[in-house]
Amino acid sequence: MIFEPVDGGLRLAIDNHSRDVIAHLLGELRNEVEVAKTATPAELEPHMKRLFPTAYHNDEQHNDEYRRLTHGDLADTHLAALNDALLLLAPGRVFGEGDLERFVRAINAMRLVLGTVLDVSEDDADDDTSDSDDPVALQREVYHYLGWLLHTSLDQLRK
Amino acid sequence: MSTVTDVKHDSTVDLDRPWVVIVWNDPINLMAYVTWVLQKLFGYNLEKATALMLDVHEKGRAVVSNGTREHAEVDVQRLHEHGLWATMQRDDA
Repeated sequence: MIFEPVDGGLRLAIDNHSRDVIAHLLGELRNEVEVAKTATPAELEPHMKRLFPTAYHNDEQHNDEYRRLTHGDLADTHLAALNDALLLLAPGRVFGEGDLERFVRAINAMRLVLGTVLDVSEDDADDDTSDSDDPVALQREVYHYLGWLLHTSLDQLRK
Repeated sequence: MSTVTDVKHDSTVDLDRPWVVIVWNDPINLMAYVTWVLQKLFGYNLEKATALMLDVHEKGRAVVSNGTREHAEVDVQRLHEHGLWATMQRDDA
């Protein structure tokens, strides 16, 4: 059990190394979202496009207008979730009402970006075996760890 | 004597045709996560949210809500905030 009930909520009980790795990645993603906030669609890094999808199906004109109105707010929402998750990762921090939902959103955003970088497909979505010759073996390990953390957090939310 | 009024027809406005919001399959989002988001955002019970999630996973897409264009835009934005791949279009049914 990685969520321990304590006075006032829950405490995340993971080892310090995992905590540090997640915090590092959350910080990097926060910096990338800051950059993406002011980027044009053409300037957006390919792996960041997954966090900023288009809204209208096959309608460039409406997409431009929609993006103009919502892109900044969407970036701010991602940033708020990432900032909250960084605070929640502090050792001993108690998750109160609503904190776990924001944590889940941030972990999912990070997993989306990492999965996009790793070009994860349906075929290997459930494959958590590691290959020592794989140049991105460490990233894959982190990706699967995030999946486990997300699953466990969702189980906790359903309780 | 009748007065003929020139009414300009705006082809982008058609109140009789609602908009639908579609969630598309992607290989990264967990099925449990998609189900949770659909329950949270639309208030669907577990059975309905799971059925929609399975449509997304197995058929590649599912219509998760419908309504006016403004309503659909809000729903798409909320889905994007939660990392789901969602788009909107006129209901072609």
